[in-house]
Amino acid sequence: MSNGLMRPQQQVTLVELVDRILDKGVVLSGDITLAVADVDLVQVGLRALLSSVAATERERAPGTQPRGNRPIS
Amino acid sequence: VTAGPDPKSEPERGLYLYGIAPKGAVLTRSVEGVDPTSSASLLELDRVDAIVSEVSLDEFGPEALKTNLNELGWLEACARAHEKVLEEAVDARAILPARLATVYSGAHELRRLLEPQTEAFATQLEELDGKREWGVKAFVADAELVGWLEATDDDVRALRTAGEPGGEGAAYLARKKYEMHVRARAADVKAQYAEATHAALIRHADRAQLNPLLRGTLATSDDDLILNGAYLVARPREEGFLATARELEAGRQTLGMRLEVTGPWPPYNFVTPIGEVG
Repeated sequence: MSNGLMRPQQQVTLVELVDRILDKGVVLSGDITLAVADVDLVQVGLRALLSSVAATERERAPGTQPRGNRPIS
Repeated sequence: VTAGPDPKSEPERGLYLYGIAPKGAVLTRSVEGVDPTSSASLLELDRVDAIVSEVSLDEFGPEALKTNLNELGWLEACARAHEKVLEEAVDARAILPARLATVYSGAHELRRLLEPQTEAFATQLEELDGKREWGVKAFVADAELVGWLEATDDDVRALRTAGEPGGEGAAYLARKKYEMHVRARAADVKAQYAEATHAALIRHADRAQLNPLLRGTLATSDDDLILNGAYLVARPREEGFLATARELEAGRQTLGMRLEVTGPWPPYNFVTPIGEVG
């Protein structure tokens, strides 16, 4: 068994958390949040996360191939 | 240097909504809210209670939110505080989690907007009573899977050695044929794993939700994600659910499969988006 099972909450990646909190759950409109109905705040947050993860990956592994182009063996 | 009191020294306060709990829910301890100067509390509504905390509108007002949600540090702190309140502040049979950044100008506005929906909230909470969400991701490491195929699949082994005595052209073609075959077999096996894993887990669950397979920048691993499921499991059945997950992984580990189980989560994947209706 790998240590992937039952990892402590602290180690749950931000992606796992944000994927739920920004994308799922009861969608209710607060009157304050309604005031920015022209901007989808969830989309704003997801974009921020995406660009940051992408930047981190570029720093971590310069020059690696995108997943799809990786040879299979 | 200005003299006299600053008219902005008392920032306006709003109410941040974390989720909805059934009547009978109690605060277990004081947990800091997304604005750490206030801790979470329960606000009584008609048939349910709202889990809320006060926030400064300097930080959670409409303009500020547009900026703050773009800053990853702020977003992460807010998301973690939100989740922590839902997990630790309240003892309840079920919770309807709200999305991040649902803010009201005060208790009066919150009541005005939510009271018409409390009947629907109560119904959903009854359906979710005593059940929690678990996330399961299944990954396959391609290299290990291919190694296993070469060791066990006669066709793959035959193609691997075919064309070796031939010239360069024949060897190239044989290599291509081998790669195509391996890729197709690997895809078959992955689809089988995903289906069998889901089928075994769902036997312990009340409901299940298959989510998109995150790729590219949102992928959390180099291995291939073949299943991204959320399962709503009644508490007495959790032990069986988790044991099944461990068995599934142990049975296929040599084939390069790994399961990542997270939870228990509030039932993010199993709430109906009431606010979008009407």
